[in-house]
Amino acid sequence: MDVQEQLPLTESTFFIILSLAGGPRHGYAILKEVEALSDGRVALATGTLYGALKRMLEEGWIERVEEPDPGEDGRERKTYRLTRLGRRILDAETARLRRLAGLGELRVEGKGV
Amino acid sequence: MTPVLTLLCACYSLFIRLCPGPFRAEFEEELKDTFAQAAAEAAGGGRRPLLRLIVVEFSALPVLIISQWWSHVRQKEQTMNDARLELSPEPARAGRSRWTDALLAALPHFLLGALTALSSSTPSWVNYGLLITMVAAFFLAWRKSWPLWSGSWAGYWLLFAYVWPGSLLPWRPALDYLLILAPLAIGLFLFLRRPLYGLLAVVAPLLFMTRLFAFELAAGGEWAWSSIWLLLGVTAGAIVWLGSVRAGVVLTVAFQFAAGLIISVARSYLPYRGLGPTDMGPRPTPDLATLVNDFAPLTLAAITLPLALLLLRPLGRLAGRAGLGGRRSHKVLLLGTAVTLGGVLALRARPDLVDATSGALAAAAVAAGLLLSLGAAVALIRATRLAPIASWRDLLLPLLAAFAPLVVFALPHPFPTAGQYSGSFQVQVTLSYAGVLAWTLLTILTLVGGPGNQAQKPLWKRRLRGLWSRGKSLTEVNRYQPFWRIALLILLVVAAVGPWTGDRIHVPAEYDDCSPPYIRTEGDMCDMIGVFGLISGFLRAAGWLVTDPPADLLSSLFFTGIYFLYMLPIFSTLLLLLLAERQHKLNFLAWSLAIIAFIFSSVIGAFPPSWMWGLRLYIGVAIGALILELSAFVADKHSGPALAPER
Repeated sequence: MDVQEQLPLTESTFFIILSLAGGPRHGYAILKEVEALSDGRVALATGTLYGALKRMLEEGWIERVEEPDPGEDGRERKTYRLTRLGRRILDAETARLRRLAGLGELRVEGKGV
Repeated sequence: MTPVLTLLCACYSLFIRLCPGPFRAEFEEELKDTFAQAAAEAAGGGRRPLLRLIVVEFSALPVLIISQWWSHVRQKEQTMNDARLELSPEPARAGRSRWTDALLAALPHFLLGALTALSSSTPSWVNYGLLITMVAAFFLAWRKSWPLWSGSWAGYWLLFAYVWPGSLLPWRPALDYLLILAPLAIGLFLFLRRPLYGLLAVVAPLLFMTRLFAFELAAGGEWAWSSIWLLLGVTAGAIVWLGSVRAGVVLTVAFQFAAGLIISVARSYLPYRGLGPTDMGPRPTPDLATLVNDFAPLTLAAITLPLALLLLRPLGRLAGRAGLGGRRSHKVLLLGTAVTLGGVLALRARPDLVDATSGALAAAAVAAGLLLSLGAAVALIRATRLAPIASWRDLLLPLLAAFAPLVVFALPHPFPTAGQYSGSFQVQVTLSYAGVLAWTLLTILTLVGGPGNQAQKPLWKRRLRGLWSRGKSLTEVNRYQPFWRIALLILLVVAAVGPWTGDRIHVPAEYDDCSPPYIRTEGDMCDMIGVFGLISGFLRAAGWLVTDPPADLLSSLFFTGIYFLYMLPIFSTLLLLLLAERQHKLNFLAWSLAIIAFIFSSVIGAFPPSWMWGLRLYIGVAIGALILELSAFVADKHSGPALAPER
């Protein structure tokens, strides 16, 4: 799959896969991580998160893993982790953003066109 | 957990239940858990964070629900397309998106629609522009090796090809032969090679063939023509976009049905040119016989051809099982068709036998003959070779084919009344009736194991028993649920808007024409169309709530309430379409209330509905809907374990 075709990502999607880059997480942990990564600026709704997770599961960017230790209520919690494709998409988007930021800096500082 | 949090979580769970089943099965528990954790944390931070959470979470829910339903419908559609294996879809064209193809397929119809809308002041350059576009499309299609979208344009190229030489022939029946036989032959030829292409090519000529002079007399019929072209464009686009033969046939039939309805209603309600005391004649009295005469036979003829194309395949399979390789069934079909068409066209060549109105009868005879030929072909195969019928699916369509023409005879006043035509014409009509009956009986007897097929009787009995024990054929009904429910919904809306009335006033014709919402029904009486009564009843009730005492309000709302009960099945059918699960009981309740309202108003005599075509159609749809919904309900029961678990 050509990862460039998947770009650019929406801000929510970017933050979700960014949060998963640090390791597998379950839904609530993703919400908290996204909030922390964005300094509280991006507060995802639960519905938005799971809508995005479903799409990313279908696209093969992430996969679901069963947590070995069940929670306090005895239920097995489902966590999500990035697949190789998801990692490539994150890398590509980061590179794209870096290029954009570089261009912006050049223009702002008057070093480029 | 505090009561507030418990209530919040319960509300959230309720909203989540509005998401489609598969999404809930996968994520519902996680969604609820995550929400509960987020809510508990927000509640710990005080009112403000909790309020913020409520706003963020609940405002995101509608988007989630809509997007998940959209994705669910798209996936379902994809699954259905994949399942249509035996009717393989056209291969996707490389290099172009399907949307572009759909748009190109719709374009010629849209252009014609625009031309029709401009018809009163069409400058000649528009016509030349259209011609140049047609030629350009031809060369583009030729260079691209005739992609699927060019099927839509092919219909018009073919139309030019056979109408133009036909118009040069002075002998009118020759033109008839061209108009009827050419699209049939070309459509069949194309269909056998590229089914979707054939359908796209034949859909416009079918309309022309049956409705060429539809608005010859009607004043202001341009809007109806334009809407038909628009509908045709959308249909062609959808056929290309869906890429499935079966969906294509359904869409083609639905289009012909809708177009026939628009034309018939417009022809019946629009004033006539050149009639009456002034050039714009008086509005004709809406009359069931006129509408049915105009709508039923020609529409039947138009929908028969795509249906017949679909029937070829089960016939071929059946004949294949009989060791005939499909050849003989096609020969019988073509022979039957040729004989029927020949007879009808010969009849048309003798105008002393029939007058102009019988054109509709002839078209109906074409349709009936074609379908009966198919039925006869099946019957012949069964009678001569005792072919075992392995699947009810093989029988379903031929059986429908055998019975479909009877619909015409079941409708009230389908044909001109006695005394309008010569004795010889009546003899012919009587013979046609007898012929239809004989063919149908032969078909049924042969199919179910009549004379000469005794050996098959146990098989038939087993099949019939199996039908109820396993619900096999009912599952077939279940499979096409979205299609027939949409058809039911459309028919219900048409029946609701169509005239059936509850409020009657005396307005002598010489004083005034009945103005909407009233229409003239008979003599000096004007009746209010029910749907307007419903709307105006609710509007008036809003005013009465302020001014009138409650008792008066209740009695005033009585008619509105009764009529509203008739409309309930529209909403319940819509719910079934949208939610598709667990709504059967609600639907049956809605129909029960509608039936009770009907019995109450007609038997007891409170606001008896007048017997106009809207009400008749409603009753027909009600019977059909109850049969289909009951079948779907039983089929759901049979296939219960296979369905996704309900929550």
